[in-house]
Amino acid sequence: MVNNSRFIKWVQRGVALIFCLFSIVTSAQKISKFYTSSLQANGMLYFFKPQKGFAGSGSHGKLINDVTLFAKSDSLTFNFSYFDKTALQLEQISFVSATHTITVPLQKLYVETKKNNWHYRYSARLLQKSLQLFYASDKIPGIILQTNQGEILLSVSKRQWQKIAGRNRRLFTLVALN
Amino acid sequence: MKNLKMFSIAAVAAVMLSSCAMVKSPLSAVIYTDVKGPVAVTGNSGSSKVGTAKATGILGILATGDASIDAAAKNGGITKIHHVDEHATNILGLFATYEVIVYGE
Repeated sequence: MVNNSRFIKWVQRGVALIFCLFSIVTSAQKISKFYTSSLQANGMLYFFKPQKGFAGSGSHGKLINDVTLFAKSDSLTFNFSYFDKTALQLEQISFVSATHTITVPLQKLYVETKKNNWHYRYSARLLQKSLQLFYASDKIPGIILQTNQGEILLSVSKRQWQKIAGRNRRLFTLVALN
Repeated sequence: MKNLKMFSIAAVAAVMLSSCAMVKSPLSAVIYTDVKGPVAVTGNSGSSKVGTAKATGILGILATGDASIDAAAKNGGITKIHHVDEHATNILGLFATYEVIVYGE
């Protein structure tokens, strides 16, 4: 009986330890998991891993973007996947915040199908400062895709924007420190 | 009939409880894995583009995604590959991801 209660206590301690470790691992909001870097001849190359948040309404789907930039460069590459039920030609992307609107042309990487949606993969070049200004906005901004069938407004929830903006501000600070 | 029902429940429970998500990784651990490693290096010089592709697994029961080098290169608009890395994560064998990261031009 005594042995049984000891065994149960040890099992309880083991389970508690596993849950503690699990909660530490999952609650740590480190930015290290959101980027990779690689040392190149012309400086440190940074890659902000794919992140989602912006999405359209109705038949318009979500946007998932990643960012590639050199620490010592003025510009960056903004690659994104956009999912939509409609067959489209994307032409331009606009980053619309309370104080600034930045519009840049798009270059198509590929178009594929994913389930019932079209998967559009496009690339845009813009200034690092422009994207920094976008992420510096406290008010919720929007992204507008200009297509051959009109404009598509992509929005984000306040909670998600706080996460995305905070993360990207830290990532750009990291790049600036290098 | 009752025995058969009990046996079926026991068999399903055994499958559910014994399965865990496994992921290809240079090192792996029971509680938590978050490991990067090399996949390939080519003779091409320099990288200015990066592309990733990811596959995920849940409980060792479901696994989906395209984590091929080709998918990652396409996502980054890369035609000349410089090197390829991998990034594997696994939490308690419940949730696993495998990501391929391609660098190139």
